[in-house]
Amino acid sequence: MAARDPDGDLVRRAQRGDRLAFERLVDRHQARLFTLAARTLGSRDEAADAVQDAFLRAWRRLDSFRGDALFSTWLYRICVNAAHDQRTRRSAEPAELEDVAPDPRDRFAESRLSDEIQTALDALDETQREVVVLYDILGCSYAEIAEVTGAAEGTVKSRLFRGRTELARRLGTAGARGESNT
Amino acid sequence: MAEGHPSELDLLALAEGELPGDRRNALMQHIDACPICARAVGEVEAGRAALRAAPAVEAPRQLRRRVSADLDAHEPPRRVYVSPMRLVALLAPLTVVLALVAAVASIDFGGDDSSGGGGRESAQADEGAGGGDTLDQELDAPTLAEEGMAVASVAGPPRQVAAFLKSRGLDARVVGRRVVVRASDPDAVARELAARPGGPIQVVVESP
Ligand SMILES: [Zn+2]
Repeated sequence: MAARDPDGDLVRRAQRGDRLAFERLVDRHQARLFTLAARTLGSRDEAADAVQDAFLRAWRRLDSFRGDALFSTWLYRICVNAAHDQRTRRSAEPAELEDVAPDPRDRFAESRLSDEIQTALDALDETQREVVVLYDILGCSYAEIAEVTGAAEGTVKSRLFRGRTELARRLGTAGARGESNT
Repeated sequence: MAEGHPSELDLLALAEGELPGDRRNALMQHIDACPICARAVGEVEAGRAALRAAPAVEAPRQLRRRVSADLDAHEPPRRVYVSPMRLVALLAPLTVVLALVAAVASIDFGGDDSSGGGGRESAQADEGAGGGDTLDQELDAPTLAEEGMAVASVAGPPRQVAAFLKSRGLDARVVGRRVVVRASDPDAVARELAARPGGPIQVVVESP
C-alpha cells in the first residue's frame, strides 16, 4: 500500500460509481495530464485526444486500480499509453507536419507546439522524452517514473541523463557544442 | 566511455545533488581535471534548466466538456466495495442489535455542479424494517441523476449516526426515516463516517 494517497477518498467513491467524485479527479489532474501529453506529442489537438482517451480508459477500468501505486501514477501511466497510441495512429496516416504559418495572435487555433524546447523535445527518442517530461516538467520521482513507464529505475536515470544531454546539445546551451556523438 | 570516467548515473547523481559528501568530493576532483565529464555535467544541468523553464501548455477549454460527455456515455464498472460475507463478519457483534433496529442508512452525495465545490449534501438513514431500501426522490435537483449521483447504503441506526455526526460538529438531524446532514463538503461527511467508532461503516453499492 502506497503512502497515503491524496486522491484516495475520491477514488474509493468513484469506484462505487460516484460520477461526481470522478469529475473532481478529472478537475484535479487534467492540467498535468494535458501538459504530459502535449509535451510528449508536441501537438495540442493530439494531446487533447490523448487526455480525453486517458480519462475514459481510467473511468472504465477504475475497478482495476488497487491502490498499489498512487492514483496519479496510475493515471500518468494510462496517459503515456494513450499518447503512445495517438502517436502510432499519426504515423499510420502520414500527414505533413510542416509549419502552416499560424496567426500568432490565435494561440489556441495553433495546435502544433513550436517553442524552442518543444522542437528539441520532438527530436528525442520517445522513451527519453517521456522521462524528461515526467521528471523535469511534472516533477515525478524516479520510482514513480519507473511505475509509469514500466522501466527499471536505472533505465529511467539513464534516459534522463541522455535526454537532457541531447536537449542541451540541440538547444546549444551550456557550451554544449560537443561534436562527440553518443 | 574510457575507463576511469564516472558513470552516467554518478554524473546525474552529482548534478542532482544526490551524492554524499565524500563521493561528491571525489567526483568533483575528477571533473576539475576532465573536460569530457565536466561538459557532460554541464549539459545535464543545462537540459534540466531548459525543461524546467518550459512554458505551461494550457488545455483547450472544450476538453473538460468532452471528458464529461464521455463519462455520460459510459457506465463505470461497478465494484462491490465490501462483500456481503465480509460485511456480515465485520458486523457480527452487532447483528442482534441491527436485526432489532432493522436499520439501513443510505448516504447520498450530490452536488450542484460537476466542477465540485460546496453544495447541499445529505446523508440519509432509513429505518425501514428488514433493511428495505428507500430511494425516496426527495432529492429535488433534477440534475442529480444527470450527474450520475451515487447512492450507497450504510448499516447503522440513524439516531446513532446522527448523534455521531453531530458530535463531530456537523449539522445532522434525524428527519423521518433519514439522517440529513448539511455540510460544505461531502468528503468531510464521508471521512467522518469512515472514522466512526465501533468500526468503519460498511458501504454497499446499489444500482441507482
Ligand atoms: Zn571524465
